[in-house]
Amino acid sequence: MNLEETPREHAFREEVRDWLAREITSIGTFERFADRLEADRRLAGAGYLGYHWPEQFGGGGGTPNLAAILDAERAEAGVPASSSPSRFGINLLGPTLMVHGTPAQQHEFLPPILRAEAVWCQGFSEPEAGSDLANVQCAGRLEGDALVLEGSKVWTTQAHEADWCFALVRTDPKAPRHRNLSFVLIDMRQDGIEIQPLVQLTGQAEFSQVFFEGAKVPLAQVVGEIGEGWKVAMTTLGAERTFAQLSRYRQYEAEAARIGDMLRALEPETRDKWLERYGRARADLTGIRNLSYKITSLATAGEELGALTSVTKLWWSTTHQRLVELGYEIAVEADLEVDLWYRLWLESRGETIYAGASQIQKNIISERILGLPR
Amino acid sequence: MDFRFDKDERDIIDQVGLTLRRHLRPARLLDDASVDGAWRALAEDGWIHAGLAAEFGGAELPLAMVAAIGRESGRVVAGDAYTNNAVLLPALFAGAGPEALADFAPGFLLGDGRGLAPQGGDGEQSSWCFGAEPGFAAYEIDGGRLVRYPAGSWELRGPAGLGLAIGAVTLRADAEPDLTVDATPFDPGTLAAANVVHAAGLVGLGETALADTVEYVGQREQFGGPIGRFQAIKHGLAEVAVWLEVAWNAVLYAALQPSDVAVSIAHLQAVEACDAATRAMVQFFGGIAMTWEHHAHLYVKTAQLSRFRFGSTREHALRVVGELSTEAVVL
Repeated sequence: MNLEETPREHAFREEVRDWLAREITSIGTFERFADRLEADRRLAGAGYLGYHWPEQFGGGGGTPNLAAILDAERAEAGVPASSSPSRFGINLLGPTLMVHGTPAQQHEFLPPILRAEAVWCQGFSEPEAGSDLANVQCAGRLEGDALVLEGSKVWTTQAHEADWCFALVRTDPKAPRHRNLSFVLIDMRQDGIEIQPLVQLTGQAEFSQVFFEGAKVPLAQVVGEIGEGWKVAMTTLGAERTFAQLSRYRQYEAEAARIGDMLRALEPETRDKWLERYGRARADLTGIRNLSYKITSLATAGEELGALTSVTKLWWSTTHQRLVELGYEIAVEADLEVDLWYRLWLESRGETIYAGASQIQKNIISERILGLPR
Repeated sequence: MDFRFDKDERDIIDQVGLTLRRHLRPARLLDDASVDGAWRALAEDGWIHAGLAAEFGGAELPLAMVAAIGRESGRVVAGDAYTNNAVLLPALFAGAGPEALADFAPGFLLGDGRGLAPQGGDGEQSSWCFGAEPGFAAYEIDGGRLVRYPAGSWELRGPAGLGLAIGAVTLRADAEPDLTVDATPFDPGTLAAANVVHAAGLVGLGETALADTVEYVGQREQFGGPIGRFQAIKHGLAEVAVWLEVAWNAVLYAALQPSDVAVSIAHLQAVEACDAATRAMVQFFGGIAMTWEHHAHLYVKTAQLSRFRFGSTREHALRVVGELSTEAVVL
């Protein structure tokens, strides 16, 4: 057990930091999708996109430790993996295709992901299939050598920017639950697809409801067997929950430092009443860092992560909500940056809902870690 | 970076846990003979001085391993004796020089002392003694001197009716020290290490409280099935499990990098986790946990009395915010 970087890790951190300063920070503030995509393409050119992918699939074969360093440095430079347009391809679809894709599918779809040429979105959730993902209703009806889609998907992040969507569709209305779904790759640039952005609490529209009316998926774009989509999707969800969260830690630390700046602007006697809560919030943030270290170390040693990823999801989402709540209250008191903290407060409400709601994570923890009955 | 114990380290930790559990189970906590047995077994196997330098007879285990042993000690609800004997007393002996060590060391290395441990670095006598048992020597700091009182010359005076061997150590009127040496106050490093091992013990205590509660709600049937199937209970215990995981990681981080901030974070989170675990235990066991018919009360009391050692949560939170605080924090 140790926290020291090896010389190789240290050199890699320096190399990445220099490269990011040289090639990335000049692009802009990364508020625009186009800027973030440009950053992805430059990262791809240097081999930093899919750095942790195995070499046989064109990746960098980086160890979990090196990938974690890259993740943290990207966050510092303003291009965290969590806001990268390529994240659905790199983190979710890529690892899924490596396990379940045919050689032809791997050959066709993996390289464009690594070059940030194909932007992907994820089509799992539906109006009636949120936490109960297996209740997918969007139909894929077999016609000739293609599936014809009827139905809709919801909460689809960056749907209006995406070239492709990987999705679960119901291909056999009569088969039992978990045996009636197929995992498909949908070309988003075709007729029969309508995208309706959903305006969020903040007034922005990062995700949409997507309606399919006759859009087609050639059978060559079904991953795994027809009817085996649930199994394929489990690999995707497993991939979703395995990343370390160092980039989040860096991002939230920066927000905490901003709260510190607001506190400094207050008179000492007003400031003091906030300090205990602020100290606790900062303490709790380090839990994200430590969990990331643990996940990375276990992954490096090839040990099972179990439900540790659920612990991590629950922790970062609730900790960040507490931090932002504090920031908002102090902003009002100090009359500084109220708009910013109000927006962050609204935004952070979603964090305990998406990527597995807190209630689902608690079910997983209580059943898989504690062994309580279902 | 490798933020996990490897197999060899885990084997050592498991062995300590087995030794402790062989002698000490919560139901026997009030049985002096069991406590003595566990403590002496720990000493005989060399775990008490595992963290000491080789020149003092120790195995020089790193602080993370000493913390892991402290966690095992917490898991059998052994109070804070491990922190006292493994970290604080050796530091005093080391400061007192080789002659003092020759006089003192054999006794405590054999488990002969698990007594009075000072709270801070100011040399004042402690008002609380953690895990002191009749039959052992008590040590105290008195005006820059370290003194030892033999068994029988002091008594433990706890808050009335607590039923737990935690309380104020009070010397009898005729008590005479049998050894006295000059001692140096604890240096900051020693206090940091003690705080880390103390926090580890709190995590261990919380883990046992959680494990007992999980076992109980899996067996206790109401409304036609085990109550552990209800989400109200599952989610409450899941939250406790998350706190304990986070707290244990904070302890390990502080053990590897014992800065003031890291140590304070470990303290804050261990207190929070242990508090959450023992409160949940009482709530989910229900009425029986409000009585002496069940051992839950021992866990709760140990948690509540231990949490104030080595500084309050407010002091630690202020240490985390650093220069923003105008309040001087002296732990």
